[in-house]
Amino acid sequence: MRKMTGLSLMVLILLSLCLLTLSLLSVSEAMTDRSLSIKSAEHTEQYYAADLAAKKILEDIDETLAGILRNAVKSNAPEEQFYRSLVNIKAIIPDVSLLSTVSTDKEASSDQYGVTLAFSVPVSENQVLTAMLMVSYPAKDNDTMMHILSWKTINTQEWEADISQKVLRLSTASNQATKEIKDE
Amino acid sequence: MNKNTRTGSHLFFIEFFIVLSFFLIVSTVCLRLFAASHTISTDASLRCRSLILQSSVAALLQAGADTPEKLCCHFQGSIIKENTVKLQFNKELEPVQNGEEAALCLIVTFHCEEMYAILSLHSSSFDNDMTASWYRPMTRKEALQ
Repeated sequence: MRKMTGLSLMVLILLSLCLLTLSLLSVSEAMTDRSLSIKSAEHTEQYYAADLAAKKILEDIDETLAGILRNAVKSNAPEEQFYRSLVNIKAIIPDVSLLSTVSTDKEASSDQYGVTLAFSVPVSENQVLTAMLMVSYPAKDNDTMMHILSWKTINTQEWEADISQKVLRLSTASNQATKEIKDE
Repeated sequence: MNKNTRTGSHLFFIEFFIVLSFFLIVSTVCLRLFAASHTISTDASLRCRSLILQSSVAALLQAGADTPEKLCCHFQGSIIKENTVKLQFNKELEPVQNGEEAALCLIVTFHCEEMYAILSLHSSSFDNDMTASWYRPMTRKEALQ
């Protein structure tokens, strides 16, 4: 009888500890899930804020192009005048950079014939939203002055995987052990 | 002999009492932890779902549903009031039917001239605002006007 005393308590303590560990793990996982969803929401919000800023730049570009077109139409060679005026677009909209000037290849398709512009808007510390646009002279009434070639987010910092591992260094451990023996 | 048996039963009852009280304490703590975990997990799941919903509506706006009327075509039971659209969903992200309680409410406020909309999401545990914009390039005709 005496030998059995305390055994149930021990078993219960062990089971309780297991249960407690499980519940703590469950809470930890739920907290991780929630922080991930919050981060995800923040990132999406940042992306759409950058998207809005980029659309405003697009509007600025469109308005500038409309002004250039209005001036070009008055001249004798409107298409040439239109492309010539585009060279100075960076002076009007500083966010935009001119990637290429007009292609001289007249046989190129309408997608290739024109001037390529690019701009970027920061999304977060490590990401930027970059857009590439093709500006071409609108010959018909329903033609647009530009179309979007690419619209994507790019990482500005290179990702480095953490491959370091906390392992026991035998030389250091043995040195410490010999020191302790000497001290004793 | 009798004394020994009494002492033994005393010990047994003391141990039984300790075991019971310990079990009660631990089970209370564990129950509270599991309940908290369930609440947090449900909240995280709802946040994820609401984010998917917001992104989907933003994608619809960018794809051409840029007026309240056009957006309402995609969601049953939506309510239009001037330039806002109210969309209500249950926990499964299905549109709320008559009399059903809404877990998520998404209010889309259109600014059609500026070509953007504010997506305000409300739930019992959190609120989230997002701005979605769209763009239509200017044609030659519009530019020369």
